[in-house]
Amino acid sequence: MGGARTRPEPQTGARENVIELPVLAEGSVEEISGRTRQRARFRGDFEYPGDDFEGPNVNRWQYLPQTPPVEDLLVEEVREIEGNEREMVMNMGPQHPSTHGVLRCVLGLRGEAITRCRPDIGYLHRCHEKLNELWSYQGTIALSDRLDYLAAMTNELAFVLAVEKLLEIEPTERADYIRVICSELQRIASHLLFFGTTALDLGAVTPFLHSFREREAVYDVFEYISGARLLYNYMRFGGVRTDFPPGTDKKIREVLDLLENRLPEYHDLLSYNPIFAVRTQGVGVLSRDDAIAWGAAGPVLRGSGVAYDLRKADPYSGYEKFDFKVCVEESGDVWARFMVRMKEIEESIKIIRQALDGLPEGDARGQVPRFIKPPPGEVYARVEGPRGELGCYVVSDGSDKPYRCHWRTPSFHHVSLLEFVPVGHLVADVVAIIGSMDPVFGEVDK
Amino acid sequence: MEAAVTRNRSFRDFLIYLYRAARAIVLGHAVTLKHLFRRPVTIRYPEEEYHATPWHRTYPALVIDEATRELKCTACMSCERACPPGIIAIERAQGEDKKTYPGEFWIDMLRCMECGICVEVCPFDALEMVPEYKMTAYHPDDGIFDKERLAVVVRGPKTPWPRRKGSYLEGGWPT
Amino acid sequence: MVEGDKAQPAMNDGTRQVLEAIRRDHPDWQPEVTRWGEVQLRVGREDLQAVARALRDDHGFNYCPSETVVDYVKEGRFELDVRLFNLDTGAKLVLKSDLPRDDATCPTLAGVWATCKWHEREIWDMFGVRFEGHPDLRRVFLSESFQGYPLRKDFVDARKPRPRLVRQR
Ligand code: SF4
Ligand code: SF4
Repeated sequence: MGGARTRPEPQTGARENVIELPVLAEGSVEEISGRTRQRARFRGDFEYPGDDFEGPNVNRWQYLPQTPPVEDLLVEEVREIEGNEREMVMNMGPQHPSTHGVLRCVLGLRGEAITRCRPDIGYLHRCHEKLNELWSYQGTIALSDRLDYLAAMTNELAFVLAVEKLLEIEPTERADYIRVICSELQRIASHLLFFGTTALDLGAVTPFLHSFREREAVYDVFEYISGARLLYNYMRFGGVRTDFPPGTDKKIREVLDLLENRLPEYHDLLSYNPIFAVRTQGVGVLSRDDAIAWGAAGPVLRGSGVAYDLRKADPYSGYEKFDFKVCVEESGDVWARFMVRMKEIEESIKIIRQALDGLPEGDARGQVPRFIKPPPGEVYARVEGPRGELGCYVVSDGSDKPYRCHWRTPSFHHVSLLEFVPVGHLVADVVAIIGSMDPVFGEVDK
Repeated sequence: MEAAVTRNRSFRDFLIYLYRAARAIVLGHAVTLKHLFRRPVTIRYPEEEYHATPWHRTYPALVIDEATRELKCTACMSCERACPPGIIAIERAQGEDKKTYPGEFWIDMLRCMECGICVEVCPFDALEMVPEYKMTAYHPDDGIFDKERLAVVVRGPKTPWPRRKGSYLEGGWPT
Repeated sequence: MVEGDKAQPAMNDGTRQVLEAIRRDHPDWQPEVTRWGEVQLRVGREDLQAVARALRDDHGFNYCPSETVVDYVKEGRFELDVRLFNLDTGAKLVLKSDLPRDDATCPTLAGVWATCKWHEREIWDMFGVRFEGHPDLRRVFLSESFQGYPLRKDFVDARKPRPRLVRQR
């Protein structure tokens, strides 16, 4: 990526400066600029700055469609870059295959090393919180699927838990177990997707195909349970919409067995591959203090050595009944975040097995008033989604629509980490870092 | 990959790295090789059909009562009111025997989010989600389904969803 | 909403200790207990930064998952709502502050919890609350050319409505 786009230095005798650029070896300047000039002549209307060997003030924005507007970089930053001969600005995204959607990063580069990174989001903004104020409570469950579309079950769960607290109703015990099973299956599906896309970002295509195959198996279960593969609209106040159809238990166990067989294959393919390890170990280190202060959550926080998991720290839906451990890695790099997720898949399998064994008989739907009109009040409910703490803050004014509904979405804060984590790394590492944060842009842009 | 080489400085480290990489490549290929002997999970779509779960939610359809060969819908407007994006439009008509029926019934399928709320609120079981997923059309106007396009006959066991009994939807949607 | 000490069984140990510590160290803060077992502090916006700093340094509230604003348009105020947690003891606290609607400014908390930097950008984008001293107060979702603050209750979308294919409710 960097090689072709880096500006060849004008040869003005300042050889030290040429060596500073990591992509250009000594002596290759002439050759590269000569080749590029040929191409420039071919295009006719393109003036390449390398043509102008004497001029010190070449236009450094030439590679961008326009000068970056001030809204992308701070005014001081633009001034700083303009005053600094060596720094150039590169635009990454919003249509970049590795940005997991529509993230745009404005990168400041010195050679191929990153000096600053400004994530620019909002390309997928769908007025989620405004729609929450306009739709009824039942419709909002269906809408919350669209927030983090790779973890629809946990989104619904956060909203449903919040409104249940306001309504002061308790879900039935069976419903709690079903919710736990669905959340954990969702976590597995989401982490499998993470496994595939991270590998894809780093150039390994095969693991992606493997993990998507298993993910489809999980989605088959969801289709069997709820009638939809991605956006379920399954949780209800006081329970879930339908009980498990007959045979679900067997289907889920089959998927779990399949996963347990396939996980070692994944590790063979990717996790312990030294090439992958070299690309990820020591890259994008997020210190423990930074992770806490910047509101990182879930696997990103646990990858930095903080053993904080809402399922243990503030149990909901009866998670305290299950025996599992919180996966923590100390090193805080891309590898740590990857390994936390891979271990969490195993823990999730354990939880689902326990829940299936202990699934109590009873009604999966609670007795709920016909009119969902919570009394005035406010509540903040939070669940541990696959990406971390997903919070839902609902204010009710006693009508049939939420007065205000705020979503605390973990990916939003993980994208904010990109302001400082990639600095000092190469452009190729940014891809790995973005992948390890696992942002979902439905959730970031709301 | 440049980083890989620079981080393994000494020649011995480099050899170890080479050995590990070779081992990983062999292991990876072994996994790939295993798949030669496994059944494929893909289907060749136009020739082979994907059979969705019978209660797969693709779009809400109007149920025809097989005995009377009429729509079950009585144009009570519950679904129109409950649909979150507000894409159902019904025009109520009245027959000679004072029974109401939908004179027109449109659903803007281009904006339907397949939530199934309309099915849950219908007090007469007159709507049903059908697992038909081939809904391509040549023109956006074909995406607005009218009464004829929506009518289906539902046979056999269908949705295991809460219908009228035992849920908070008992007796229909709050009107 | 606040039921005093009646609702205390829902509180966890960390929260109870914090409540005692606050009652002991800061008699003028008047902590309340919400019915979900959180300590709730309502402070004036001029004290916000000092209280936040004390909470972080003396009471260990190192994690701020959510900061948001509710628009009570009838009462003419915004309510700032900051959720705080202590990752080590599990204590929960809510920090509330009223901001008048006609003077929607607030001292920034970005210096206390770094994560508030982006929370506050979002609030600025959606509600137009200006955070004094914020290092980087730009819109986060909408473009800089957007007029108005869409989550305010009196926001009117000036654009032409899109044609609907089926009649709107
Ligand atoms: S499925 Fe949902 S969106 Fe579609 S018509 Fe029914 S209620 Fe409306
Ligand atoms: S709720 Fe059922 S009966 Fe009433 S109008 Fe809709 S489809 Fe017809």
